[in-house]
Amino acid sequence: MIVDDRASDRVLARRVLRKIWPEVEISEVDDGLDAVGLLERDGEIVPDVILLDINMPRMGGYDFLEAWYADTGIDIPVVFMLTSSDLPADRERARRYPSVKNYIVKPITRETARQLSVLAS
Amino acid sequence: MEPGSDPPDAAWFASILDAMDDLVLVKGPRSRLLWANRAFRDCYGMSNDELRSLIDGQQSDPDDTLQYVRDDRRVFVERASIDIASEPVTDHHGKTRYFHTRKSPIFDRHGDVATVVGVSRPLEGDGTTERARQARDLAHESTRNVRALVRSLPTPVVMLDAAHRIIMWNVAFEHMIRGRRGGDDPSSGLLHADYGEALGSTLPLLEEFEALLQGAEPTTRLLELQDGDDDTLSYSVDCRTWTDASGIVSGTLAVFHDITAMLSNERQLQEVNDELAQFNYRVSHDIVAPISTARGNLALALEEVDNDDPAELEELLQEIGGQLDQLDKLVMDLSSLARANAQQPCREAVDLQALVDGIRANGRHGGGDLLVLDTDLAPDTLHSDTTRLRQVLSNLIENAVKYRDADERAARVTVRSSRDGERCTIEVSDDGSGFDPAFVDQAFEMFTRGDSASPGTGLGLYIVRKHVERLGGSLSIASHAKPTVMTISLPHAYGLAA
Repeated sequence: MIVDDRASDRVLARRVLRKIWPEVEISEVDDGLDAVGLLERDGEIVPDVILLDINMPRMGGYDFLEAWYADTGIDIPVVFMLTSSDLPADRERARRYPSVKNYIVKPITRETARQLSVLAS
Repeated sequence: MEPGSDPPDAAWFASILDAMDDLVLVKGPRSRLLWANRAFRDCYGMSNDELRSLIDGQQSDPDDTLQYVRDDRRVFVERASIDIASEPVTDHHGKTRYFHTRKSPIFDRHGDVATVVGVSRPLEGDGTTERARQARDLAHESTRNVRALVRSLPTPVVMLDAAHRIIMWNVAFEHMIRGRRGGDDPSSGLLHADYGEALGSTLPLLEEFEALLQGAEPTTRLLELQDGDDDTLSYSVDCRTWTDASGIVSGTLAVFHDITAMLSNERQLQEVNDELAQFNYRVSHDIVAPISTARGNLALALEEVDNDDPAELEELLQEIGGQLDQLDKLVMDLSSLARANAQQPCREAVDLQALVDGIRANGRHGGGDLLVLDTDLAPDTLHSDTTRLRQVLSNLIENAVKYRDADERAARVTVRSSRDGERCTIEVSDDGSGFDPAFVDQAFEMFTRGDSASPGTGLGLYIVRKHVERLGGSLSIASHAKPTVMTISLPHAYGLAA
């Protein structure tokens, strides 16, 4: 699942992922609130990986993680933070969540997509 | 008392004290008289009923009374007898004599000082009396000097004795409490008034004064006070003790410093700093974001060159172009914002009709067929800054086009103006999708967009607000949808006092 408020970044992420990992199923939402809504609607289905932006309107990436764990207690296997923020505070916060396996400063590259496909399989 | 008679009662003890020639008197907290023997009553020409609850008789010099309350206070604080080498006492005929006095604490069953008993015996001998007179003169002069100093200070000051009675204040203090005490003369009735009763609710400092007299360090506290126009003024108040010529703490005083402007400046500075921090963060984010997306697309495009897929390549190049357009718009908006903040507005005759026609003609809103623009303008000539108003109206009209109703080909926009006295109102209304009511309060904040899918930089309405504020006006959303109405209120002539 790609959670990002910038449509152009979602398009780019989808393109790069498809090149490396053609069989992957991708859902997209544009903020944390919609991500919570989508996951609740799908019930038991938890995505294998989430590419998660940090700064989004309504609900940012970290608030999404807090809300998700508070509501479900279910671990999301692999979360990659994908953000334009290179702030130490944002990087530091990412380390608090066991699900967050990597912190990527945009843009997404083939290497990021490769890591994701390896971790998910 | 004879052997075998009844135990002594109060009258029996009183008769003994009344038989003495020494002045004997008992005082409660804050120097209130409770009881005096015959010698003291004769001196003051008053009965015990008349004396009770007084601090002193009217015949006394108020500066002598200062000494009495100071010494009474010392007994309460030091919880021990004190010896007063000379003390002036003026009888009800106006004659002043000098006494040697001892004041001692009387403890209650909890061990607290409940009352003070004073015993005074007249000083005898010309030399002794003369020295006492000189000491009195010195004490009075010292008090006069402190009073004169208080009176001359430019900042508000109020001075109390050791019983919390107001004994001096200055003109600045009168000015400060004007409107809080009513009448033209706010100082009327203040002299020797109990501070708690006279001003305790307006300037609640009694606890500080009491603590100071108990030996606490000087203190500073913040007080807020309404002025005559009901504006709130903030004061930093220094509370400290004052001493007489002998160096004994004789009372307290409070010096008021008006820090309203300083606090207001601090708040403004904080707001500007917060805004700047937010601005820096968002600008770096909004500049970095399209660049990084473009870089990502560029990496893919370079691969497609090798893959020989012209359709995919074109799509990627269009994406890159879109990112550059977004950056271009942001840089333009930031440049407008810098101008809105930095330059002084000018005042000139503004032809609103020509200004609106110019916006219609320049097509920045996306093309003539996307906009149906009407005007209903007042005949009066507005005096303001044409360049700023052009940007204000241009941004509002562009917004109307950007957020036009999805079912309509063109946005219908009407610009109206009217004059009410010294104010001019400009209304821009449209039939577009309007504002989410939940978003109305933040609509003019920096980097606010209706939703994440909204086109634009989130600076358009913020720039409008900055321009309008710099022109001495205000901006509001009179109706959030169907029609959407933005109202601008401006001085009819910018820069001239209304």
